[in-house]
Amino acid sequence: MAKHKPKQGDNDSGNDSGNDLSGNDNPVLPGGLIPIEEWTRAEASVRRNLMGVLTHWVDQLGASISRREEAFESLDDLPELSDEQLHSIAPGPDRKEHAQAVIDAILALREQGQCRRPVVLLVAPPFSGVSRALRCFPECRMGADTATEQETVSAVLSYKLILPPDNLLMDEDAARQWWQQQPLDKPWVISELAAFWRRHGRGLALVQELLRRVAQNSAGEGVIGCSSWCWQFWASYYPDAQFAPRMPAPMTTERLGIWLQQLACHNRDDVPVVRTVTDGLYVLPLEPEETDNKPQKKRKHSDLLRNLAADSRGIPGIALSIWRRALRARPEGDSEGARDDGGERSPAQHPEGRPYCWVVPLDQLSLPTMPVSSERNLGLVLHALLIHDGLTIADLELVTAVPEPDLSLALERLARADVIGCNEPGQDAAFDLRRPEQQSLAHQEMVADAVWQVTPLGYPGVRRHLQNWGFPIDNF
Amino acid sequence: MMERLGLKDALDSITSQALWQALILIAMASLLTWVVQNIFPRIATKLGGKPRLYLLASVPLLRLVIIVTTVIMVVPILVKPSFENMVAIFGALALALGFAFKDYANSLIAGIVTLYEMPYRPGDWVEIDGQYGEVRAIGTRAAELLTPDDTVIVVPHSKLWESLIANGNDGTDHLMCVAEFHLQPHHNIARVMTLLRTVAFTHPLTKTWKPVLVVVSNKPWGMVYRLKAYPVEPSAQFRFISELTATGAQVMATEGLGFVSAPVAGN
Repeated sequence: MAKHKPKQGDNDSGNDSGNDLSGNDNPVLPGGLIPIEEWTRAEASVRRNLMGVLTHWVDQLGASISRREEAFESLDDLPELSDEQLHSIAPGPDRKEHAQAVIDAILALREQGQCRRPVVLLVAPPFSGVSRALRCFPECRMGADTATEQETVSAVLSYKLILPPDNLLMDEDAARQWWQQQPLDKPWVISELAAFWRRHGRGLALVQELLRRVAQNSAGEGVIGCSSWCWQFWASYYPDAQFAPRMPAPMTTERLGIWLQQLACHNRDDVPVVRTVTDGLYVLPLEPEETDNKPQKKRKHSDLLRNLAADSRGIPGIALSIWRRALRARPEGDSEGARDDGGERSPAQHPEGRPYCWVVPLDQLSLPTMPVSSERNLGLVLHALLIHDGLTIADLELVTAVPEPDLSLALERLARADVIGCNEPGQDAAFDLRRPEQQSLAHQEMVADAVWQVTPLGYPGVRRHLQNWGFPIDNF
Repeated sequence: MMERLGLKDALDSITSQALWQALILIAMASLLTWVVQNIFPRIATKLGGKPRLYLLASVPLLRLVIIVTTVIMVVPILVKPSFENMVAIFGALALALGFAFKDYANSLIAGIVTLYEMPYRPGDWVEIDGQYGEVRAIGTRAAELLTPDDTVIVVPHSKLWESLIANGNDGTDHLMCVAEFHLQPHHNIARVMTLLRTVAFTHPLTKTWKPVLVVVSNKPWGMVYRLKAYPVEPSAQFRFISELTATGAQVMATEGLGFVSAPVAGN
């Protein structure tokens, strides 16, 4: 199968900072791992920024005047892609490939002497897919293919995944004992630090003890994955600590294009053609390809990827969710949209024989709107969900101190607006191909031990609201 | 006296048509002012957070702009803007204000100073002459404070000249809250400071990116700890302080630390 991956040494973007720092040009992890101080947000056009602010205000005023049905709907009536078509054109990333890319990036940093600490702290915004990849570390090889005989021993080693205990409320002594029982003498990985603590007087001990050991270099060799919201809390709690965290480079326009294109090529040999429904400008493939050294005719490309990178704040999981939501089978009045034998619409075939689909401009795509409330419960719930990367109802009650039934009412309201969803533990909603209404258990019933999480489509709005309400937010 | 000031000549040129035009302009300006003063605060409450503060702060400024614009438009309609006429009009005005409405004029001028010095803005939590509350509105002559007990206090702007004004958040949404703990002496001070800091950090309403401080002082009756932190919104201050105090007291009790029951005078 021909995979459209850049050759070793190719640079994916001229202005991408940090690419050379990790030495990782892998399209699965475009830009590699960068120091968190070097993170920059992809910017949309001034017009789009202004429109975004205005729309946000008008939405809030409108929602406060009339309590309309809060679930969001698309603003166009073009047919969406079926699950099968989505799986073909916009599948989720392969978690093992992603994990291997992260391991290779860490190794590259170590080889270049840019990461000398035995424990690497990887901070990532929600829906970056890092914790999902870190969970696969035990299945990946730790050395590069070119490992010498002397390195063979380390090459066969694999990471040991450390899982949190059931009860996170403990004192310092219990935390010390718990960490002593963990296999810290072998390479270890924590997929998400947020799962090891609760924002409660007795819920900090495990992370306090771990960070103490990491600061003293007595925790062995390991990798810690940490949500950016969780890290915001701990960076404030230990303002003088120097853990030199790294993070995946943000998805700039160029990186996002490369990433989406390699995802689209994952299940097929050729790059699908994706064009905007309004003006027919090309989104994918990224650049005209050359065949037999004869350059093909220049295609006009849309700036949709630029807006997508800005709207998703450079976070791959959010970009992919918006991308999937924006893909359409065919524009209105297009006769090329054929139906397959089953009567289901399928993407039309491009004259070159490639799969062919359309994408709605992002300003025609409505994202979930935050419900308006004068109570602080919504903000408390959302902030708790983000700093802990998802919580059960019992844990939410513990950390927010919002009692029942107020808590259930707040959850139900947020779930109805598609701002949060109820997932199985460990499930990553951003890379799950099921649609939000299928993913969320909220529309069926509230399961006591199910984990509530912010949805990827709701995240940009939630972050903006929490910022306006004065809650501590992440920097990314 | 009017003739001596030249005011009679100045006012003689006023026609009924000019009077109507001026009245219509004043009515429109009044309507616009009413809209700004009543609609903007309502919209602000719907928005919440920083947009609320910005919108509230814009109210007095917009009102000043409307008033100044109206005066600039109305005066030339009523009187010919010659030097003599202006001297006559403003001279008469100065006399009237100086003798009859001295205190009123004092507050009006202080009100204008308030608009550019901004010792308080709508949305600020201030203490003036022992009265603590949120600035609900800033009028031409006075500001309205809404106390935590839901009482409106009208504070003339002239207080600006003579009173100390303590502003808790000064136009921002950062308001430091302090919870006090009076503990019996002879305990591990470092441990108590760490525990109290954790109490603030684990409170769901704490702005963790702002400083969380614990200050201790030695008093004759024991040790006084002041836990300082910022709540997410200034309006959350009372709930925030209450919950910090309650949680802190619970933690101290778990650690076996007793509160002093009443301060006693030392030697």
